[in-house]
Amino acid sequence: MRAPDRFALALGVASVLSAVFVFVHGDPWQLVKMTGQAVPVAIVLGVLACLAGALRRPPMQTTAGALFVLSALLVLAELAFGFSLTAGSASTASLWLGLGIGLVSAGRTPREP
Amino acid sequence: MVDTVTLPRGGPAMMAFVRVAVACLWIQNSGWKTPGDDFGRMGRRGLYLFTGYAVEHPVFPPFTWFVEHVVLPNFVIFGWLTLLVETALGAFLLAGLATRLWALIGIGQSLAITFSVLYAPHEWHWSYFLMILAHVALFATAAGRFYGADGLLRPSWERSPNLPARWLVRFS
Repeated sequence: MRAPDRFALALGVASVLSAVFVFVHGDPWQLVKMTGQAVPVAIVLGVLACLAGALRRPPMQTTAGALFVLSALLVLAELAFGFSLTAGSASTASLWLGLGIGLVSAGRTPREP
Repeated sequence: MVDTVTLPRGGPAMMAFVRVAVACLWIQNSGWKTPGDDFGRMGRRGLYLFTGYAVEHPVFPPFTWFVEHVVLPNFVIFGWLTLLVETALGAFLLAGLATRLWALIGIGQSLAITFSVLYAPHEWHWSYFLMILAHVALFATAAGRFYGADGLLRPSWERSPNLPARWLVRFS
């Protein structure tokens, strides 16, 4: 497995593991606000990223990354306009934006023949 | 100019760990910036309270003047700016993309926090010095090149004649 595929797999695993924060509340260990509505996003997109890495599919990695970025923008829109779909905070948006940027980067990394 | 970073055995993994840990610092702390109550202005708490310490417990007079006359009267704008900068800091340091640029931005944001709360009651001054030093370490070691997006994409940026790619080589 090449480095960008391992990177995508690691980011997918991180997303799936982040779902555990639905059970963690308050400082110092709640690194990210993960609500019941946000958990399906973290798990579904995380599994997609894992598959994209394990199957070595750059377009799938880019797609998973784009979906994470869109999810992050949705959270920021929730904060700006006061509606609630994921009920996340800026910490949720930051995590998903980082995972998205990483996955898009992995998908766009040129593979040497 | 030397353009490669060589770390001893185990060093790359350790710097990747430090980069992700610093990203977690920003991710977690972006979470309590909430625009719902104008970032604490309504109840004089949260981000508004801590920013106001720059005036109540001055550290650096020009910064105090700026906070009193520019930031606090336009606090919602600066609240959003803080939220977006810290959200992006967490995201880009987590991914390891343009890490040296974001390390510099992290130093700037850490300085702003230091100038706000350094002399406030019950604050441990080394917290803020360590924040700055952690970002200096990320910048000095170009930490995104180890297990980060910079490490994946930098070779193609170096080969590219495009201006954005040239800038990304500098930022990574």
